[in-house]
Amino acid sequence: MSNLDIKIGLEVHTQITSLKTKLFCSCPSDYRGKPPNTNVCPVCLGLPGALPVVNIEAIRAALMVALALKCEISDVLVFTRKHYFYPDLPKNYQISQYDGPGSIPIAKNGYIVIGVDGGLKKVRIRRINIEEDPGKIVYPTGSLLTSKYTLIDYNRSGIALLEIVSEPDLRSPKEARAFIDKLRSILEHLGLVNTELEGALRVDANISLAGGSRVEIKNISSAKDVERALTYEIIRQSKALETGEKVRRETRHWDAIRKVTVPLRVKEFEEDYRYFPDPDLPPVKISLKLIEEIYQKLPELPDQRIERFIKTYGLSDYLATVLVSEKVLADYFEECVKYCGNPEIIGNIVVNDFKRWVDEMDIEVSKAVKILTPNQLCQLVYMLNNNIINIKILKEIIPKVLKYNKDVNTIVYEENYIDISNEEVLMRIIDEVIKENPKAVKDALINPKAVNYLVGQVMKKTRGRANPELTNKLIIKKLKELSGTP
Amino acid sequence: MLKEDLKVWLERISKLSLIRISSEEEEIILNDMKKIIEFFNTINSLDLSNVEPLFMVLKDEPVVRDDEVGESLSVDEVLKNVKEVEGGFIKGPKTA
Amino acid sequence: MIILSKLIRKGATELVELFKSDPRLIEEYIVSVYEVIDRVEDLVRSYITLRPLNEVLADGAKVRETLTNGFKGRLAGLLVAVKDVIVTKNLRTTCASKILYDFIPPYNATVIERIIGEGGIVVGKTNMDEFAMGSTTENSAFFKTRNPWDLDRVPGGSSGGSAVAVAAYEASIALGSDTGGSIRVPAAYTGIVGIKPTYGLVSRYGLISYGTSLEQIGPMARNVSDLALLLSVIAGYDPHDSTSLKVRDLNYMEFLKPTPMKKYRIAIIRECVSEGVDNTVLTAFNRSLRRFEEEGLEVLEVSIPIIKYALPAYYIIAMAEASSNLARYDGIRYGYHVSVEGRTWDEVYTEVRSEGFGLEVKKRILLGTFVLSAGYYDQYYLKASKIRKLLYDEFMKLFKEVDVVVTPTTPTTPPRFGEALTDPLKLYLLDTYTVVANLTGLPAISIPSDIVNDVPVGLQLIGPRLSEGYLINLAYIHELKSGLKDLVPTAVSGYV
Ligand SMILES: [Mg+2]
Ligand SMILES: [Zn+2]
Repeated sequence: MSNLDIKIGLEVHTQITSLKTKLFCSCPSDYRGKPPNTNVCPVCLGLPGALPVVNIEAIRAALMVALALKCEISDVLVFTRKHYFYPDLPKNYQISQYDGPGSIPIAKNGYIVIGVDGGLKKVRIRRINIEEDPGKIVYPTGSLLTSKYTLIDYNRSGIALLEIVSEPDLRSPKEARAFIDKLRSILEHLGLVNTELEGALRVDANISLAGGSRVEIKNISSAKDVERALTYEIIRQSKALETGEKVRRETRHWDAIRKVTVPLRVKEFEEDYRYFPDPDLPPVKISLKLIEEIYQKLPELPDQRIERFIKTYGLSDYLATVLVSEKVLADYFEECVKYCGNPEIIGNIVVNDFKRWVDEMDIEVSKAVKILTPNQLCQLVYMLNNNIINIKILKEIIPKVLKYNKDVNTIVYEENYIDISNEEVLMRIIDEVIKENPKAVKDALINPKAVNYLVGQVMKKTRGRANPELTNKLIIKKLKELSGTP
Repeated sequence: MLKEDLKVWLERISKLSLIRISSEEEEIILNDMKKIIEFFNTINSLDLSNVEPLFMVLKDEPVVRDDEVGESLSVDEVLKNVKEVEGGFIKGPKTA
Repeated sequence: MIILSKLIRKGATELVELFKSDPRLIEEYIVSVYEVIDRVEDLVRSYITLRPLNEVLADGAKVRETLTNGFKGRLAGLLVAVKDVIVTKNLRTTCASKILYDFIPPYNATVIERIIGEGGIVVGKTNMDEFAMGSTTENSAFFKTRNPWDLDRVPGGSSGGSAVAVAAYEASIALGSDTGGSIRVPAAYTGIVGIKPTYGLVSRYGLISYGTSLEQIGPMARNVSDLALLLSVIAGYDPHDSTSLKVRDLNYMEFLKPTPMKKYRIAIIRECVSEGVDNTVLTAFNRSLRRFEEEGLEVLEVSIPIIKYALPAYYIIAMAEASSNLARYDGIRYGYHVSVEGRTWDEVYTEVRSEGFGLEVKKRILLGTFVLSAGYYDQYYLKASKIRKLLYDEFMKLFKEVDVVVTPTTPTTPPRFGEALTDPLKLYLLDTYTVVANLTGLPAISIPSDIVNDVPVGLQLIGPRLSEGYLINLAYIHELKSGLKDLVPTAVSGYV
């Protein structure tokens, strides 16, 4: 299956979690974990007579993103009503933005650069909208399909969202994931979004295969799942196309538990959102002065940071890119380096060990960095540099620290991980190994490469604690003695 | 100037607005609708291609809000007008 | 016949002064207003929800106490009738619709907060056309309100309940709302004064929306002074309304001067005094003009041809906005409800909306949905908004030359019941002269022009942005010269 046949466009909805209040009312934006319907007021509950007033900080946040994504910025902020009926939408219209007569999105025509297969790719951004989040529907049976009614919690209603829409420039699920990761990192670096919060980042994905129709997959909640859902769709659609079945133009729902997409109910009539400029919210001028002021205050963005990591710390392109793909990770790296230097060693450990285990154990990076703190990681580096432990042991210790949330020193001593560098002790073990492996010894006498096997046996007997360099040296010395050469 | 039959039109619009017209009401409504649409159509005699629309008459900059937390409603106030409540949630219809 | 307290005939401005010197009078005043209500309410039916006398007396007692302690509330002790389109905390607010028949708002509109803050007491919620859609108050889901000048005639609408409550002495002053003439038309038909303020002058927070970009809350009163008093209280900046103008501390009492405060140039619009105007209305109109001329003011005639498109443009815009504003009524969070279990949202919503809304409201939602729908937006909504722009520009230009535009408030005297309803266009025509002010956001006041055949006729004065003070000045002069103030309608003359 050729990647060229695939067109993917993404619509990312991200909450501006750095705001203290909702988009159009003064209810707290921190709605998570509150009892249902305790974080609402007449405005976000859509009560008759209540009126929206826009949060000025939300505009500033949108402008920051627009600048970071290199967009053209509108000189006026216009809100538009988008009409559709749904139980999570208290006014049965969403205050959003639109490109049409009398309406304009806050920003258009930007781009994001992503890394693809060792190269770089520019993915175009069609537009950025500011809009309000709907409430949340809970399904009493846990499933949308089997529930006889819904339970609605409007605590989330009115939270400020940015809708960031890409052009269909992506060619594979992997690229889609890279796009989201990059966007996420940008939002994190701007200090606007804590993407680890549940529901803070949601994605709708459009995908079409040559010869098929555009299918929209709604409400995917992580970059990983975007990759999964798109992969599933590619298989489903290409199978259908192979068997000559028609791929319908439709909207599907990503079932994150069963890992499949399912079609949503087909509507009798085509959607007609009846957009028109919201008369409750007259246009707000966006002055050049404001844009300039925000531009001056923009923090360091991922691309700049990658460059700096390469220059300042001598990191490889790869290490720098992975570190900066998550702001917490990059911050962690820099803190460790500040603490104990060794940027290359630390970069490698953070990317190849720490990050790998964090992903595997499904822990949030922000929690993991509080367990294996910079102080702790630096202790490991110290032990490594002073031959107290070896790199193999270090790689074993990291998952244990993360898993048991124990101090590095405690693990090293409890597990008796201290490196065996005592020649006498090592010689005793080497003697044992030589006695037990006569055939290997014979091989090693002829072929120096076979020495590695014997080293491996020593490592096995010491559960990795033997200093590998010293062991190698001692075995060669012993073999020379055996062969009789001086 | 409808591009469709008035009855088909009414069905489409009533689905969009979730308003059903009873068979007793239909005749009156269709009759009135026809008159009103004709009345609306009087504006079509004007050529307005070079005119900018005016959606709002406010000349001043609109009121905006600082990002400061204010008061929310108590849960009693929120649920006071709700007819079906379950565990603090508002009970709503099926979505599928 | 019971002799009522002398307080009943007194205006709001006068009462407030009396209460300040003798706070104990508040009780007598409240009781006597309730006596009037007892007598006339069955005839005219102004109120959807009337607060019980004991509650209102308790509020009165509180105001009395604060007055005794030196409180200087500008409305201290006054009974204010409130159109049922304005939300009142813990007091049922229905919009005269079945879909909100039991809605108890958990908050107050900004104007209500201000009235209470100045010592005013809400006496009840008045009848109206459902969701303010109508010009006769016949379209209430509950009952019709009658004109106290002639019980066979409509009081005008949609603020008919508020107009009648004031005209029939069931309250001292009232709040109405005006989307296309809803304050001015009933004011004209009931012989009182009412003003639609400059768009943004009075907060809409808590006004249940019909035509968002057009409507304003405004005061209704039996004389210009009382109107100025209530307007002074409700006007001014509100951070809860994005369309609120940043003007503060307004005092319109300063404009109650017996002579012109400037050399007003008055314009009449040719298109508004030619076709379709009743002769009686025209006669009254000319008499009013003469009163101004006698004050040495210049009256000139202008022509604004685009004005004949104002009415269809107005209705397109109002209905478009209404279809959107009324989408929220689905019976889930408040109001008319049907059981949800086992049914989809579109089934449930359709049932609630089809049973909860009256016919006129349904028509306007359907048409509003239509003019915004794909393929028709440009042809109707956008085009109407362009007409709005032309009209706006015309008036801006005109107000560089003149200070005020006068028209009859309505082309005819109040219709008899049913007359306007038989044909939708007949009903819409009642708003011919009033919609202009809503489309342009300009202030417009309606004052009694004359009483012809025992029925009042209204005069409308439209001014430039934020010219309420001057309109009040002119209205006050007209009131002095004509003597048309604190009128007593025929149907209640035996009672007050
Ligand atoms: Mg969206
Ligand atoms: Zn809120």
